[in-house]
This record gives sequence, structure tokens and C-alpha cells, in this order.
Amino acid sequence: MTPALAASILAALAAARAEIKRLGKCPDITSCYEDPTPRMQYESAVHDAICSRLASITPPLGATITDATAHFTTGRIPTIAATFRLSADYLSITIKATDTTEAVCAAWDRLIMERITTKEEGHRALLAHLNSLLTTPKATP
Amino acid sequence: MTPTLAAAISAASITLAERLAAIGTAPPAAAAKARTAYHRAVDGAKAGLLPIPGTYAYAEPQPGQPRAVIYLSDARAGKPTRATITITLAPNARTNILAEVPCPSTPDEVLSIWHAAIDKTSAMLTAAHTHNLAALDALRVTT
Repeated sequence: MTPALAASILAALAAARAEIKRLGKCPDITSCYEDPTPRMQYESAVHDAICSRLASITPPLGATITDATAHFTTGRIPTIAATFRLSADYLSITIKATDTTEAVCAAWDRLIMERITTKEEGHRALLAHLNSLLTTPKATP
Repeated sequence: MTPTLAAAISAASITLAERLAAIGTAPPAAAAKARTAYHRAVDGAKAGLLPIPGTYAYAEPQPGQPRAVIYLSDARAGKPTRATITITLAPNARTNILAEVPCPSTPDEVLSIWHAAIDKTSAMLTAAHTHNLAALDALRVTT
């Protein structure tokens, strides 16, 4: 995740958010007798707004947009987010429209560091297990 | 691997080597009947040796339990059949230790082969791990 990519994702989300604000607040569905069409149309328009903006982003090699989500609450502007996956390590990060570039980059680095730590621990455990399979285990450092 | 298991594998390898030596060398392919009889005798040499005590008997291995399989070479005419006892152990779903013990082998030789197999597996895993970490580290914003 580069700062430029984070900034472009945030810009796309901000543009989507601006369009969603123009669409207005999420319509209500109070009962099953009510016509669900306005709500369905609203949700569809919100998703279109996010997806069309994110589609304009060209992620770097190995990166993919895996999900674009919107959380709908009646009477409110929906909160939106985009999930990105980078590299073949299945690392993914969800970016909210309200995030900052610095926060996204910091969260991304934190995610990688956590993954590195997990892998280090797993590898050490595996080597220790392999060592235990020897007749005379080597002294572990 | 325990010294007991190494001794059991060694004993099987020595017995098998002795049986194969007693059977002799492979007849020429043209002597079809003799060749068939030879193959039958060679296959029979494995009888009673598997499972080696301390190893798993069935095709579906149990986690953490070694499995011993005997492999016989297809001998050319005038040559004896060679045998190998392959020990496999899967400490987890992604790791497989493979040790090939020639017949005959002493218990010390079995242990030495086993240790070399573990060292090789450790080295391969460490190389892959280092590569993975480097790839992950390269994805950071601040390296």
C-alpha cells in the first residue's frame, strides 16, 4: 500500500460519498406491507456510486479490490468502505471514507508487521518441532 | 526418531538385503518364465517386514506418526534388485519429511539419514520463510 494508492482510494470514496449525499438519507421500510422499491433503488444507487468510483482506480500489480460495502441505517447517510487485497499473502485492508491517508498507511504497515510476527512465531514453532524429531535435539538459540 | 525405531528400520533393511541377495540376480527379459518367478520372489521378500514397529501401516498417514514404505528397483538382467525403505513424516499439513534408507543400513546410518532429512527440510522451510517475509516487508509503506 503506497500513500498514493491510499490517497486515490480515499478520493474515490469521498467522491462516492458526495454523490450519496446528493441521493439523500436512507429511506425507511417500516413494514412488509410498505413498498420496498424506494429502499431497493436507494441501496442500488449507493452501490453503483461506490463501484463506479472505485473502478476508476488502477491498483498496483498484485492488488485487487475485493469488496465495496455500504452500511445502511434508516434516516442516515450510509457509511461506505472498500476492501483491498495486496500481494498473494491474502492481506486485506478495509478503508472507510472517513479515514485519512496517514491512518490507512499506518494501519497497512501494522497489518504487515502483525503478519510478519505471526509468521516468525509459526516458523520458530515448526523448527522447534522438527528439532524435537531428532534423536538428540540441537540446543535452541 | 528414537534409537528403537532406527534399530527396527535397520533390522528390516538388513533382512531385506539378505533376502534379495539370496534371490540373486535378475534373469534376462527373454527368459519370461524365469523373469516372472524372479519378480514374484523379489516381491515376496517384503513379506512380514511391514509395518516396521513404530511406523504407521496404512496409506493414510496419522499426523506425527512416521510411515515406512519399501521400494524395490526393477533390476536389469544380471543385476540384483536394490531396495530402499522410505520414511515419511508430516509434522503438519504443509511439511513433509522424506528420508530414503538404502538396504542394508546400520542403525547409525538410519539416524544419520533421518537427521539429514530433517536438516534439509528445516533449510527449505527457512529459505521459503525468509523469501515470504522479504516479500511482505516490501509491501510496507515505510521500509
